Amino acid sequence: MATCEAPLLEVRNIAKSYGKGKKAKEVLKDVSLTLNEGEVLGIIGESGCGKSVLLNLISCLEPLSSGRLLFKGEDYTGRKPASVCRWFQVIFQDSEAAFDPKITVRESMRENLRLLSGNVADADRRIEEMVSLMGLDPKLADRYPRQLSGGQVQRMSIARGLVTEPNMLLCDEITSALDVSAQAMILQYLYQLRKQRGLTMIFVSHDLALCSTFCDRIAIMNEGRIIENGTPHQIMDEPQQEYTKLLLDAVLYVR
Amino acid sequence: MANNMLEINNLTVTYGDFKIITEVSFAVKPGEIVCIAGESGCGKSTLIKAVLGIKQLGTFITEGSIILEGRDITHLGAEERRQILGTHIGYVPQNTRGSFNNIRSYEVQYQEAMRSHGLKFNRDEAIKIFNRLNFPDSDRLLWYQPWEMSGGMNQRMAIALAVLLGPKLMLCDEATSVLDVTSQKEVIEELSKLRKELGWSILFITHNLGVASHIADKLGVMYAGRMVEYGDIRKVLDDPIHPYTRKLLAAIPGKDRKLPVGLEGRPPLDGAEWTGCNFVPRCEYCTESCKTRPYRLEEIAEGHFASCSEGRTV
Repeated sequence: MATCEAPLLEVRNIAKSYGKGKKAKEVLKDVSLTLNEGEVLGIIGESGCGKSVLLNLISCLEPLSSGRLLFKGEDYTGRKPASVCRWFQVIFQDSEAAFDPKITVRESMRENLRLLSGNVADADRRIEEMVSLMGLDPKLADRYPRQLSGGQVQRMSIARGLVTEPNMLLCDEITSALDVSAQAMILQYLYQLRKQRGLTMIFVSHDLALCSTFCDRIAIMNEGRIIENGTPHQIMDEPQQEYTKLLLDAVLYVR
Repeated sequence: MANNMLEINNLTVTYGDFKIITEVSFAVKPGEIVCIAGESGCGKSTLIKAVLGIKQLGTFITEGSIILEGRDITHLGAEERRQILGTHIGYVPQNTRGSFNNIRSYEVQYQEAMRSHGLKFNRDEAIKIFNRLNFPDSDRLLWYQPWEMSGGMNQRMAIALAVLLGPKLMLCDEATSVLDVTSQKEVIEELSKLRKELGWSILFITHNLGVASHIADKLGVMYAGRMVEYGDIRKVLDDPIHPYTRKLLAAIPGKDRKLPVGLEGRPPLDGAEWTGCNFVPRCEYCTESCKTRPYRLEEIAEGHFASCSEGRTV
């Protein structure tokens, strides 16, 4: 039975390989992590280190090779994505592609609500509230995705994810395609949401400087393993692993 | 005037009837790295297209001139243009996946590129350059095909090819933006090294001021088709004058781990056509007169230009 003390999400020794037999390639090796309610975890790594795969596994978009996934103490390993998307909403890097180009953003959001929460009487009010929470004019929801700027689409995508009130938001490089000012806007609104609603998030990124500004904990991934895990202070000021130091060294701050 | 590698005078560029860039002027001296920073859509890539003169991309220069080593290249014909591209002006685009054929070896493609510029490909010379740039596995690199490579490595192969053609001026259009931090740093270091050893001049376009601060000698900030601030990198970063430059700096996650401050809204699409300041809708310091005062880049301090100094704290 689920207990109150159980963490919101527990990932126990999961592994993932693609291919079979001799050709099998292990992309995730023995990854474990826990996430409490209201916490924001940053996952940092280079391209190809398996950070996106990890999110896909957590949200059941792909089957695990081994290991266990627990949500509030309840084992949900091997479930269908549809049965867990009430808990997790994933936001991707290219959100314009995640919206149906033929319907307005508002219709996309309604669809999301209908599929996950059934027919909600006050759908429009909830959509508009969420859109304004992301700092956008609710009128923009009546536009088509291509009529919005990259930063706006990304914020709409977050609003769409949150409108169904998931327990957790999984963000996969959500700001990498945006320029710095749009990126900073998204961070600001996510930060406000955290304060207001105690949002739990996994924030996958390759930008250590960015994660250090608003994550509670940062996990560093390299070649399919989590090699270091700690608070921003621990990671940035007292890195233990050589690889972490290497990553820190590569961050180009404005001098 | 011949002591400038590249000189851009009062450049106005249009797509059809629509102005994209207005009145941009600056110069790149030999051996100098000039960075142009700004949000997406501010016209920084169009600037590079104008220098390259690729007409098919729809850029038309209606006013001003582009001068390469004392020679006016604003309206060159296709044949003359072909002779200076590659060998005089090198170009590294944001995504080099599209510049190579994915399923042919680098060697064949290098040969082809060199031949089309009337140069002879020499294997040893290429390997020498790979070694000089500290590429791993340099002896075998030429046998690989682009699909086997990571994005970062492919980008570096494009830079190596540009080196082989021996240009004096390099144009880099967001050359590091698709790379992750470690390869980004490597590419930046390689470019700085090449500048030192070969005396390259580089025009480097980026939206990342962090990258700019590590590589550039001069920094220009563009907003909606206009250059709003220009000067020595240290002057611009240490004492930003234009309100937009300050906003841009505040949006970058810094060492202090404070939440970056964003900038609401987006640049006006027709910003280059406005009479007054086109940053007014997003500016917290704007006054009534800003809306009508014509755009002009003024020298505020020595070698430091800005089109506005409202709200500046000295």
